[in-house]
Amino acid sequence: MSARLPPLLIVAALVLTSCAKDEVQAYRVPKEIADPSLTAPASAGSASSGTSDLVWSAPDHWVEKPGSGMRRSSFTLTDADGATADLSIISFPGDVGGLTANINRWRGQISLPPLSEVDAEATIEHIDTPTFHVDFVDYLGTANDVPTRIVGAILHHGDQSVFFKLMGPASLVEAETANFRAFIQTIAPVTP
Amino acid sequence: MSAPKSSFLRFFASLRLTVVLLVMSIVLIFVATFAQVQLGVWGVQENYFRSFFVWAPIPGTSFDITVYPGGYLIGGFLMVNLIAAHVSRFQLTWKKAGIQLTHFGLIVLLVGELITGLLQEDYSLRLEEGATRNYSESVRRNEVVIIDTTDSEFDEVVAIPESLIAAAEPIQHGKLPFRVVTKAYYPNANLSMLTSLPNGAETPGLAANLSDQGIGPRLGLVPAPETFKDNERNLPVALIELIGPEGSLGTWLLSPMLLQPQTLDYAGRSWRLGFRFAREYKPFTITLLELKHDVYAGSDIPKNFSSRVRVQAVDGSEDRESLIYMNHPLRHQGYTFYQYQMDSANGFSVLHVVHNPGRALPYIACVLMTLGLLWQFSFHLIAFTRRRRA
Repeated sequence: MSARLPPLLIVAALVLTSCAKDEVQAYRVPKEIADPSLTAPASAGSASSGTSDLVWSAPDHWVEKPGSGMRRSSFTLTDADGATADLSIISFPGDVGGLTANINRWRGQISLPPLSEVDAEATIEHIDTPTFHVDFVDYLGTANDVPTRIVGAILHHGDQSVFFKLMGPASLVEAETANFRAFIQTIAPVTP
Repeated sequence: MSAPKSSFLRFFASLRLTVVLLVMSIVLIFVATFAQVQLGVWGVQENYFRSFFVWAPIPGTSFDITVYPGGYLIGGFLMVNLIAAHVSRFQLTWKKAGIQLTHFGLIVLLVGELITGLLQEDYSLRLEEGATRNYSESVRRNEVVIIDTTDSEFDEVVAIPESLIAAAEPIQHGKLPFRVVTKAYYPNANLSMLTSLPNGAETPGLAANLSDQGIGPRLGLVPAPETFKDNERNLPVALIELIGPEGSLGTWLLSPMLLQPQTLDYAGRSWRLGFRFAREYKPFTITLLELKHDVYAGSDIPKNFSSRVRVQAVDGSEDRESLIYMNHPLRHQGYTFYQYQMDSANGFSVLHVVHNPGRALPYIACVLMTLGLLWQFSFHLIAFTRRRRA
């Protein structure tokens, strides 16, 4: 009986190993563009490479706050009336579900309907900074019935997708858009 | 019992073999603990524990040689040793029942680890507040997808695992009117816009970029060493050529890093190409109803992260809510959903999803071993007490 044990174990191991998923799969899924959440992939971790460090130069009146969780950094922008806008800088490894999904995620935050890939592409301004190709968007919607604007920039650096999103009261964001554009131009990799 | 069988059983049932294997295990754990500094948890698990041999490169060459038995080999021998001891010394008596039960618990523990090593899958699930999803994404595996987007309501997806892309065998699938051929594959690489590189396409260190379609020709491709660290993931790049009956349709550069969808119109249909984190679709959906990020009063120190989710079976047989927070995961249909990351300002939560068919076995093993040891010690204690009284 004992002499049969090793072969049995080998067979068991082979049976278990054969369950590995290395076959081509074909399946049908509902279209994804209608719901941005159906395409936004999960993060695999808060960082994935030492090559992903960036530096930037922001206007003096932007108040920088330390990063926490998935935020690499953030700024608070305040106008004369005390209204504030938030600039968040978030990075994820990979494509994070594609450009359309992420644009629609932002649009959803200011009550704008999601766009198809073709329509989303039409709203993107492509900017070549001294270092990066940046996809730039500017949307006006509402949040809690208050006119709210998002200007955002998405760039790819190393193995990271980096999202810069300025969101806040429409008038404040409009006044800061030029500063935001200038800020995007300053983003550069950390030089050793 | 014949002589060869008897000597075979003696060898595998010997206590000396047990001691040797345990010492080898200790050495393996000791060395692997130090290796964790370079390789991280996942790398050590793959290279030291979930392998039959530990491999190391010959200095100055690119050849690897085996330098030590891996966890599967030591564990496998340990299990054979245990079973052989079990068989050869098995006595169905109350006196020995505790030892037998403890050994059996140990065997269950080893089998459980084998099942976990072979079958456990880790996924991530990122949800916006109010969003619903029916799939999660692998933390380590990737897949090339060729999606027929012609239909207005459905996408027909053909998903090719990264292992097949790496094998570089031409792939012909019934749902595709062309062959998929891997021209080049890099398990980990960085991409840069050529315009951002100091010397453009002539920059040293760039790998040959054979792509002539999509965004690929605008990119510089820099191969990177594979990473096994637990907080990093490899982001592969593949140069994929599609070949129809009339010849090549072009070569695309695909990578999970690319934001832009790459499309193709062929045979009267529209196709989208991509390399993405491998997805696993589930027979149920999860909706993030509410996320909470509590901090201690007067500080930014996190106190609690929680996600209130709704789980709905696709066939309508189940519809319930659950609160996921630290050390309180949701368990559903063999999957465990842990609270992983959160950004309450942007309104999304990331759940870590684990599917492990063997997850109950360590608990069962511990119960068996505890009962076995309790039985054994109690039996001897009672016998000892009786002898003293006598």
